[in-house]
Amino acid sequence: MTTTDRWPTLRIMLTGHVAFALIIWLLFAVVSALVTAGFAIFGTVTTSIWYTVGTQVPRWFLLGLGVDAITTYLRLHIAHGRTRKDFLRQLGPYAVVLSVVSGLLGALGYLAEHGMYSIAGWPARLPEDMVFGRTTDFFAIFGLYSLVFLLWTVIGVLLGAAFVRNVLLGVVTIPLALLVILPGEMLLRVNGMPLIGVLSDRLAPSVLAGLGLSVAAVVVAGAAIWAISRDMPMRPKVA
Amino acid sequence: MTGSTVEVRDLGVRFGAVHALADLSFSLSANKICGLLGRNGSGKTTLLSVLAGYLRQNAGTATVDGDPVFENATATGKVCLVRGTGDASPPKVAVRDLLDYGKQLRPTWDADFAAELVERFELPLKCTPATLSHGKRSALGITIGLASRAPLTIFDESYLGLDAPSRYAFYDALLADVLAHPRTVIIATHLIEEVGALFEDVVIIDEGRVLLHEDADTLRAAGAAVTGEATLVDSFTMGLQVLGEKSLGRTKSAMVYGPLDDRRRAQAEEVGLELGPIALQDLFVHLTSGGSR
Repeated sequence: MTTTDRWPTLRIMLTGHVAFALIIWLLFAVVSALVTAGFAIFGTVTTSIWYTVGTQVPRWFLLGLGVDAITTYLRLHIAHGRTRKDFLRQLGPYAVVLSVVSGLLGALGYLAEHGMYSIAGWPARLPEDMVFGRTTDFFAIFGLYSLVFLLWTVIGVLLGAAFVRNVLLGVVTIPLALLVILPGEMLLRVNGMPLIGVLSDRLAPSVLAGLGLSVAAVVVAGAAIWAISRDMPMRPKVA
Repeated sequence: MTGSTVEVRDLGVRFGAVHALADLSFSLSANKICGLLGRNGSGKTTLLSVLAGYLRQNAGTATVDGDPVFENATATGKVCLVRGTGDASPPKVAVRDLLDYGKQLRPTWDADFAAELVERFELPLKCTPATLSHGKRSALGITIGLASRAPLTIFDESYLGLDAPSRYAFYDALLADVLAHPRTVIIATHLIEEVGALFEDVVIIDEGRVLLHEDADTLRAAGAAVTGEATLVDSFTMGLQVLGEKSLGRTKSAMVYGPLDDRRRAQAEEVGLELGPIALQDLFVHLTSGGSR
């Protein structure tokens, strides 16, 4: 097998995006530490800051990376004489690895925060009724965050593909993307979107149902990505 | 390594109600430099996009070495299309990484040649295309195209942003590389006068159809450039189809379309007129202007 046979686009995307994710997560950690310090100096630390900083923003960051996978790397892949089918085959492992690494960073963030709070004597409470009760439930947090980040990465790819194909299709795909992330939001119970917030509060499922719905959502999104991208025309760039 | 053959049959591409290509057919033999000429909107980029698998046709077939192109890695792996400043140079990725991607993604990639071209075009490796001038982005596209060593390498107006010395450096590099590593090259251009000397084959398309496909030498012999004293040129070209004229002082050059027989050639020599090959650009203008000139 030659070098070029070993899923090169997967390696290229992961090298670029995972390295970028590490830098961004470091930034999240610094911001989280600064916010915590602010609360400690000017008020009282009562809840986990990482819950907000390490959950809200990273989801949008992963959505952006999903979009970038299509807008940057699909074009690059085709321009080097490869097929869409070959690219889409490598997208699944890409999304899983990126999400798992991000989930791990999220879980490690809680651990680090717990250590800091323990030393300072602050309570590391979570502001919502989460499926994991404590910030030290490392594996539960790791699994749940990986799943939520996977859903957000997948909708990034989906929206990227839809908008590249056709702006109108992109707009029409937004409701589908919201449905795809819904199971994860219901499990995680943290979001900044009104509609999703209402739904996730009212339809809070069991962990098992949430996982089942998440898998179904990934399958539906994957099918939609395939349908949109398999014969996507690559239009000339505007100079 | 050798170049690829191209076969296009009854090709049709529609964008809504607009027929960009209609019943377009031609074939190219391997290891030649082919000029693809056409006016704006004639369908050049659409045709080349189909040949590279960037776009699926609505009708007909496009094959490279006999293999259908769209979503067929056997065929697309042999093609490198540099469209404008190139599709393999996303704006936010460093030049060094882009060249490394070429190495990872293309089995035929020549990293040493890429490094040589980077030096020749003075490309900054740490910069991203977003921070480069249009000329440097063009040079990067050309570098990726040449270093790909793809059996079918296509340049679609890829060097428009380059200054004249860089364009000539590109022509030199292309010629030298094609001689050393034979491959099929298609060049779509509006700079016909400048690039024309490279062409061995010429395809002219107009309104989505092939207007002419001819060996470049045959095409150049389809007429003549008559140069000499103005009154003598006027007298000689009387009754002939003149495509264009240029004057400098008392000297005039007229492009005449149609073959000149031996009697005519002897007559020109007798009165001291010079006969040269017709300029491709004048011929192109004549063929695609619908008789407006």
